[in-house]
Amino acid sequence: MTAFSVFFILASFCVQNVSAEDQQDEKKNGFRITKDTVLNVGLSLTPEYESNITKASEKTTIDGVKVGTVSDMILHYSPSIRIKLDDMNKTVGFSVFLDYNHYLGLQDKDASKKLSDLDIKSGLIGEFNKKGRAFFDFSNHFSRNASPDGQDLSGRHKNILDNFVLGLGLKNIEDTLLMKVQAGVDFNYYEESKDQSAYKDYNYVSFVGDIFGRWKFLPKTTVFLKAAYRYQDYYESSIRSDSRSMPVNIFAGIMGQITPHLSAKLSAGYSVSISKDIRHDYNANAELVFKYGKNTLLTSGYLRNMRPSPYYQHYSTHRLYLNFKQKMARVLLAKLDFSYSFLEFGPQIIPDAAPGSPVVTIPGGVREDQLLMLNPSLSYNILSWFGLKLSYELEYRTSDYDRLVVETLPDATTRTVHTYYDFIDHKVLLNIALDY
Amino acid sequence: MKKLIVFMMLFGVVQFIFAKTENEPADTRSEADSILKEAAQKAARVSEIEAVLDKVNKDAVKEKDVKWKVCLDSFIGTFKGVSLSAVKAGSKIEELVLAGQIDEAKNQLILLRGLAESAEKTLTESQTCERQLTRVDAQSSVIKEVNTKITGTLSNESVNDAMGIGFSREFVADTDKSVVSGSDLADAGGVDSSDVNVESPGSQGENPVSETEIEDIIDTPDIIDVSPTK
Repeated sequence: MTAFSVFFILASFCVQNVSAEDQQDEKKNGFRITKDTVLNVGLSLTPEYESNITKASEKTTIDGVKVGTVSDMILHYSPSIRIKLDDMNKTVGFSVFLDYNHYLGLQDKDASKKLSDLDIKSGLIGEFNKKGRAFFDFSNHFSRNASPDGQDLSGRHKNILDNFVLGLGLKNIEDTLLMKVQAGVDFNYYEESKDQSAYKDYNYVSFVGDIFGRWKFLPKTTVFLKAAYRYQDYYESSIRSDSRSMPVNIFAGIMGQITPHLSAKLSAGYSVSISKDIRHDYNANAELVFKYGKNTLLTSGYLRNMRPSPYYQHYSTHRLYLNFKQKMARVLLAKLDFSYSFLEFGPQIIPDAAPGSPVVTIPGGVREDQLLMLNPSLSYNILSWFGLKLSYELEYRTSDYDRLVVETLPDATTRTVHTYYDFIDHKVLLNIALDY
Repeated sequence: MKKLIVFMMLFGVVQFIFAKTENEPADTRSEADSILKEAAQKAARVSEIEAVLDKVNKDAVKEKDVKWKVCLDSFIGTFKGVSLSAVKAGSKIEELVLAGQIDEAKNQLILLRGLAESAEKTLTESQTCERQLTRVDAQSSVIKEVNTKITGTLSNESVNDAMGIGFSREFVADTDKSVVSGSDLADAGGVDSSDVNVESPGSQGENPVSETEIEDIIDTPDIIDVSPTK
């Protein structure tokens, strides 16, 4: 209550000091190191309530006893730094964002306090000869995250992901035609794999390459073509030879403005997953963007694509999504993000049980998951460098995937863990952000 | 009283006579100064135009733009005569003024005015020379020949803008502070950034402070405009 009062007084004070000049200066934040180099420094504090901190299923049992879910209050302390040299010919930038999650352990101290940890996100980018007919760029993104993306392994796991890409682009004199070739490598590692061998099946290294071309033939409108491959090797997996895969995606499309209020994107193509089995598929994205003035944006669309999976070779996503943004009085932003995804997994790879190791049973057949995300939020710019955001997030997943592990403990007794992967998670967050 | 009136009249006559003789050279000096000043200005302007034409001619040679060079040569040839005459007229005016021949100097100034006018006309006409646009170095070819009708010159004329990318980036609590954004040279709604077909990203991440500067630079005319067709 005291903290809330302090925050309220602080917010009220800041509101009193808002001026039109401050709002107009919104693009001038940052410390200018040199003529073309700007340093941005940020700090945010986010109290968060989460109803299911491990994204666990209520059906999960240990020796027949339901484990249940744990809720908690988490405080995020997040300093950040971005520095960017940007001139006519080159851009070089570096960012680092730290997020210390402090679990207060309100419901179950043992279960939640050990989750307190540091998340890290860092980026390094470079673009050279930007105004030339041939340009070169690179990027490296590193993250240490307790809630990795990926749809195979729901829950909370400490994941390290590094993504490095090199690109070479060519464009014509008029800048209407552009072609780009990229090559990169992704490295993914679960820290839990040090102690729990099951996680080793998810660690991977990926080699990625693609060629992209676009032609702007009308104002704000372009046609594009992309062909990409990925060779993903689960290098520590017990089923390495079967789970490694090479998805190839080729797609073409058109996007741009139809009227001043309406824009659209249509793209479609062919996907193939070359793994233990070969799966031919299609990919598609249809998107409609409605803009009304500078204050209203509505985006809705349908997406289908295919990605690799360690146990199922690949999974295809059908997604319907809708994003709505409304700016009010120049300082308020109301947002609503909604998506529904239907995930179809490929044929399951059943690992051979090694002698003495836990007996793992994964139900056969076709795995199908459904994922519903709903995220309304309200943001308020008190100053161009100081803002608040109140948001709610709902994540609801149903899955017919479950995993039965019978393991022998050191005292010769056995333990049966039956894990389900459907869950519901509610979050309420208040983000207080300073970013200058 | 009579004596006083006579004295006053004599004083007035003397004043009139002496004042006239003293003022006459002052007027002449002022006119001479004015002639010299204008002559110097006209001569300097002709020299300035000569320097501009010389620089443009060198650019044409550097860019190996034969068409442009040939066109410029015809104007530069004509201009050489104008420039020489202007220099001669300028020095002659100076000599005439020193010799006190103000009327002659005035005639020469009229000639110099005509030559300067001719020089201005030559400069204007030389700017209508058509260029072949053969220069292919990074600095000029892309900037000056970008098809801005299609590509736009500002971020709000891009494909990304049409797709709503960066719509709410000014909201400090709503942006991703872990991302440092590049220039997105592809301007293709994020399609180029993933190996699979994906939806358009909702936000570009950070507040692009420096990108604003680039837009400003593009707006200011350090871009070499293509000369209009002759």
